[in-house]
Amino acid sequence: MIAALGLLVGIVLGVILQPDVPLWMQPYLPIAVVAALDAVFGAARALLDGVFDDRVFVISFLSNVVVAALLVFLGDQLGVGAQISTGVVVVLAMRIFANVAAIRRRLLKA
Amino acid sequence: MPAPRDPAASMALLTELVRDDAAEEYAEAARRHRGARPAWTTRVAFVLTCAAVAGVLALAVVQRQAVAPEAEKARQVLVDRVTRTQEEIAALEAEVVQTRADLAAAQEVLLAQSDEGAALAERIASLEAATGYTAVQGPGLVVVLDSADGSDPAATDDPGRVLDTDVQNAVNALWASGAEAIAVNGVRLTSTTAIRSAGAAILVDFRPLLPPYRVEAIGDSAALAVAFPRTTSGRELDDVVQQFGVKLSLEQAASLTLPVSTALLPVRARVPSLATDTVAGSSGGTGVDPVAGTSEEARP
Repeated sequence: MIAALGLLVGIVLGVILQPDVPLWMQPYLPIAVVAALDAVFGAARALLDGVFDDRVFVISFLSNVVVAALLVFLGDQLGVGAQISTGVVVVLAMRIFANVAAIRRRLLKA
Repeated sequence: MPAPRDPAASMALLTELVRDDAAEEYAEAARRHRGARPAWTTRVAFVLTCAAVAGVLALAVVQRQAVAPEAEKARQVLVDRVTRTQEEIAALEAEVVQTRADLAAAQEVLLAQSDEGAALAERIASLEAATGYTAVQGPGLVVVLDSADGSDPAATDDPGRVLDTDVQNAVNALWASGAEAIAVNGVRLTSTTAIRSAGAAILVDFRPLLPPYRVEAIGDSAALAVAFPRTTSGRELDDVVQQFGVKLSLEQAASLTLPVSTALLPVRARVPSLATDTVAGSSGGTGVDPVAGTSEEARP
């Protein structure tokens, strides 16, 4: 219930305000998107397993975003921003795959 | 209890990659505080995180949609600016033509007052025709150049396309055959007119032209038609026609009208001085190669 409320508020804010993503933040947006997707699928899987915990959801999403952003920032400073972005996206994408696979096994029994 | 260490420690990375970490996160937390009611701070943080997740995803979708119209808008602004500038140029050119006519009328009145003036007027008239200062009319030859069948005029690497060198060759062949005045697609050539290319477009006098290229020359039409294929440039053009299928046609015309050249900028004008005169006459004189065309591309 309150999750739906939060989602609604987020969507409304994102669509209506349409904040201009400042240029220095541009490289972090795709990372944030992938991290958000990872959090969503991880939560969905935990929900299906009956072990969902909002504390874990909050902390895993925030820590993923912060660590990913830090890595990309560090990479940018070292001149390997693109490579580190790729690494972060690959790792998060693998987690998404694992989570989706688990959801699929549970829902479709296959 | 730690598992016995893999002797190939570097393999740990691969093991790590295939191990399903994502499942552990929630399971572990569930084991730790089963049944405990979450604190209100956690609930607030949860709602905020949900909002952040949804916001980021919504923002990503919105941003992607916003990028395309932005590019289209920028293009439209540029197109508008080009159109507006072209209109301004047209207005200014009309003004130039008008001012020139006034000047010519005033000049005529002045020169008609003496014999010396009359001789001068005659000389001016012939020079004006040669330099594109006045519109000229008379019989002549029309050379039409067009891309080969099935060639893509936008592809810069298509050999069947008409290149700037082809137009240069046609123009040079016409001068060499004795043409008195030439215009390409209605752009009058002068001794300083450049024929060159910018990307896939051919610029004559810095105006982009589209094929087919219609090179009109005033002169003895029969003599021009005979001499044209025999000039060096004419033969080069013929090679291009034979090899790449570029279409070339000659047509004698009883009456052609070539417009005034609108670009008569005195690029290298000098006031004659009595001191040692070292004016560098870059082109002209021979009348064979007045086209200051530097080609920036070669036929592949």
